[in-house]
Amino acid sequence: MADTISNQIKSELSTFFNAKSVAVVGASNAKGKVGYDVVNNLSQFKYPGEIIPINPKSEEIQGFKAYKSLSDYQGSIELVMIAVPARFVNNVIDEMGSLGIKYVVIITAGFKEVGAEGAQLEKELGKKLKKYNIRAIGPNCLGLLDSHTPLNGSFASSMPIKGNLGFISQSGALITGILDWSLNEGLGFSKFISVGNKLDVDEVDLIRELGVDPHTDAILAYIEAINHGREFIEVCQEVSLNKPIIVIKSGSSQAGARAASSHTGSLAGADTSYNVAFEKAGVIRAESVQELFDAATAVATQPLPSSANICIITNAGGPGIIATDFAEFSGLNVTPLSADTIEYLQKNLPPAASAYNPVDVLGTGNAAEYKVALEATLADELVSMILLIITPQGMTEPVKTAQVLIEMHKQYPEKPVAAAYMGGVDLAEGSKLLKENGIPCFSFPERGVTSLNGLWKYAQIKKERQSGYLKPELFDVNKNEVDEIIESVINKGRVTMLGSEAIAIAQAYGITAPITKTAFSINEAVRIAGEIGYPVVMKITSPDIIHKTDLGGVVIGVKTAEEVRSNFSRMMNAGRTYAPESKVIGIDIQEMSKVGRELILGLSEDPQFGHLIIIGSGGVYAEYHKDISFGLTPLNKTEATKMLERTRIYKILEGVRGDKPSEINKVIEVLQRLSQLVTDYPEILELDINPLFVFDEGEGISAVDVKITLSKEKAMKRREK
Amino acid sequence: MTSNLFITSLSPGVGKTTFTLALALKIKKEGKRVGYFKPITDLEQDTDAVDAKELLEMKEDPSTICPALVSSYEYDMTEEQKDNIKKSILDAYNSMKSNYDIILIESCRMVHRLAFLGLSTKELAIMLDAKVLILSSGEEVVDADRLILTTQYLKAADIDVIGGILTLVPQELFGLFETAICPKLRDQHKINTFGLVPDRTTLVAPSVKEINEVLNAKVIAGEQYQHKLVENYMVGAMEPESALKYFRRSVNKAVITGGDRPQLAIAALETDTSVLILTGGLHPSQMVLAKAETSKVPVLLVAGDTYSTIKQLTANPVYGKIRADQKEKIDSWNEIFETVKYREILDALE
Repeated sequence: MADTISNQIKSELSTFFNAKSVAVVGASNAKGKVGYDVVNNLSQFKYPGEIIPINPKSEEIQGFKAYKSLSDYQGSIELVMIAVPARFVNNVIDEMGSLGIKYVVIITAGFKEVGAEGAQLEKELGKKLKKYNIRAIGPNCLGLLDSHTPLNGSFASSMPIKGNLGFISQSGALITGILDWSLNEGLGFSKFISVGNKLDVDEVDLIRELGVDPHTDAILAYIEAINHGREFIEVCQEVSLNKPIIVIKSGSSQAGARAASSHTGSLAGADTSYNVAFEKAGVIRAESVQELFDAATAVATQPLPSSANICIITNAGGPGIIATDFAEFSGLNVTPLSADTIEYLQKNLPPAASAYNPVDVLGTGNAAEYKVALEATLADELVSMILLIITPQGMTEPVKTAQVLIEMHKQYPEKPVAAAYMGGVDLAEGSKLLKENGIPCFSFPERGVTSLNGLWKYAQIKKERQSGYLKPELFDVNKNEVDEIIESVINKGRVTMLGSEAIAIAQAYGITAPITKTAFSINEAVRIAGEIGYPVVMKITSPDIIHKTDLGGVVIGVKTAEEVRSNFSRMMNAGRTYAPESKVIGIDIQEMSKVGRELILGLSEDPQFGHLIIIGSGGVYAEYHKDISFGLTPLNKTEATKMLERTRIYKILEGVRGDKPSEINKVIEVLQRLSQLVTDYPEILELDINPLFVFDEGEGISAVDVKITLSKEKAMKRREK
Repeated sequence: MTSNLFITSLSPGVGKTTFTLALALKIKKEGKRVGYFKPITDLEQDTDAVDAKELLEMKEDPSTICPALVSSYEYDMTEEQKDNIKKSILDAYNSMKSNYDIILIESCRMVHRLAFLGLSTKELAIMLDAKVLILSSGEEVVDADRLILTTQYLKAADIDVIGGILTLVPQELFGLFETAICPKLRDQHKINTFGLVPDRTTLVAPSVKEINEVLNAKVIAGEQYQHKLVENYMVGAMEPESALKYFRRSVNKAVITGGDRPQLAIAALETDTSVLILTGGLHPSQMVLAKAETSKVPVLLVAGDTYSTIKQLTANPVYGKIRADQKEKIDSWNEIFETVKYREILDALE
């Protein structure tokens, strides 16, 4: 038994990476076979544990004694790697079950990704894994690599440089590509894991695992679709307190989403929900592979900045301005320097140099002048990070300047630095030196900014996490009322609520709304209108009609019984013409409400992440305003407030041009109450309030139109509980 | 003495066959010998007789249970041909009547069908000495009009119309029917309504398999889930972002969309969908099929485009049947007989 394997903290999945013995089922002597590569990789990259090739036909595989089956081997096996055809995989799992082996990497393809038959096979595989309590990575994956153990259990042809970045990927090919690139860049990784079809272990398990892995300081992931969204958010919220998580999620364009859906069989279109989820989870989203690694390079080597204040030092005006623009657009602050710094720079740099940020040491700038600039700006309390730009000019000393930067960074280890060595051949040596000394260095200034911005993003996430999470407030609500309405709607065979039902739900959760009742005949309508008191509002209501205004389905200010009568027939006929097959059409009779500022609120259950909640400017032009801000439930007060503050209409609600301020606190409360509603009743799939009237401060709000769609299945499930 | 009840309807698709067989099953459960008889069909392949034989365990051949075929292309038949048809009906009926305490007789289509040939409900009910029960849609309150007129017409021919059943009643309208419509029908128009049958999928909706009898599509996934019932059709032609919201508004639905629109297909599979009908002969990716398989939804592939497929489906309405293997449907009907005045129907037959 190899005792060189370090005794890491035993976590649930650590055996995958530090197993003391690995059996390869389907091991082969034939080059070009996956079973050959896996054994070869374990062996050539010096896996210190026992390598146990399994092959019923060979005595020896690549110099190792081979065994006919797992049970043929007498010692203990901790991890199994499978590379036999799909139809044999389930038998291997049975054998593992009887031997009590708990970890397997299934490299084999030919499951869900090949269609219905494969899906069936994968389903059976899943059942067996559960039955034997076996944890599995894959199927249909590249395998995994750990540079510290070292363990290369994959068919990738190289081994990463030892480092502190952990990379999880839904694409195996992306791993081989990045691995090869990283060797050239000198970027080190702790682990590469290809998750394949994610039958058992998925990115959530692995982020949790890398979160406690002592060799991993930053977690990177390529994701096409997340299956356990809520858990993903919870785990990332916890892990991001200590380690940055940077994710590239593909399928954000229309065409990309179509391809991702086709590729993964899951709904990838809801890019907004991914953005909102990543924000809630404390995950940094990279828009490109380059951005992912530019940010990763910094988080792997540099400390976190204490503010967004960046100082740019350059020997050329153009690149300095480009970097300045890009930094500002990215959300960094190209800070004014302190008076002391400016004075020092003016005194010690040539007169033509710029002592203001961006600091320009001029084309004549040598290493000594860069040193002057670095000394002053690093010491400046207003500066939290530095980007050093160098272009090859007459007096340029790229290597010496690199040495200066390395030296100065050692003197100010709490301030992150990065460099842009703009050039190729002339600057290669200096650039190499910086990278070797753990200073991110790129060929263009924008990438340097991206890199430092990644650090700042994580610094903010970490700070937010450290301040703790405020629990959502629990309001006093009438659940019995909601229970009754939902039960009655489902019993009537509907999933879409009538206006009166949806309004009653809102009222039960403490959201003020006008009295609303549904009538199916004229006499009923007149009676209800009489009870409410004239004038009333009449609105068509039907599970089959969404845009009722378009067909003349809303009449405001109905003053008499006669008007109720004539409107009733006209509206019903319009409804029947619009939705000839609709079985249920009635008229909601509603108490008149005074008009306020119009907001829209909406809730939609996202299949991955739970309920997405929106708030924005309402009214008939809402679609064109596109003034909307998003959140994910459950919402606490801070999150609800932030959501509202992000809308443009927020400024107007605060009161502009001498207007009184509106009832902002009530709006924030409505958001929280809605969040509580869908947390209590997950069967509410869609909910819209449009408009929500907001009145002047002290006068409250009113939800005058509410729509709700339920899930019958979820309602039944909850009722059973 | 055998009691005969002739069950007819005012329009197609109100659940006549299903109701008749469900009622027969209910009577059978009480230990009575009950038979099903359908004098005339207009379909070459009418499966009602076969279904009834299996469901009620009848000894007679399907050709006795449903002895005559009169299609809509023989309204020019001679008197002699008509007489032969009547004779074959009587012969079949006489051969089976002694085996049963009650025979439920079902009309061909609706009440007026074959009146031109003198073979409609009126003539056959007289010929077979049967009392009549009328099924009417209760989708709207105006449906009551036709029920009244038809009852008066049959009564004028001295036929004993025991009453009516309103089916497909939206539950939102139950109150209105119970308090305003049914009492008036009884007191003013002397029509006894034995009950209201709610508009519920499990009672009358067709299965995916039945729908595919119209489409003749290739089943490319979820073959074993074709028993699922289909209540609505929805076309998937919107932007993927709004698909989920739209699909969620409907349950037990068939979603018809292009085979090259994986996001719509997957959005449909995320919601309560009974079948996915992919058009254009475009095979979806394997992952979509795998998702259908795990969601237990059959996927049909048709060569035509989305528009012609929906047209085909709406032009050929498919009505669900009740079969011996559809436990869910039979159970639902048993539940209905808790509220429909089943005992009164039997009493009226005495």
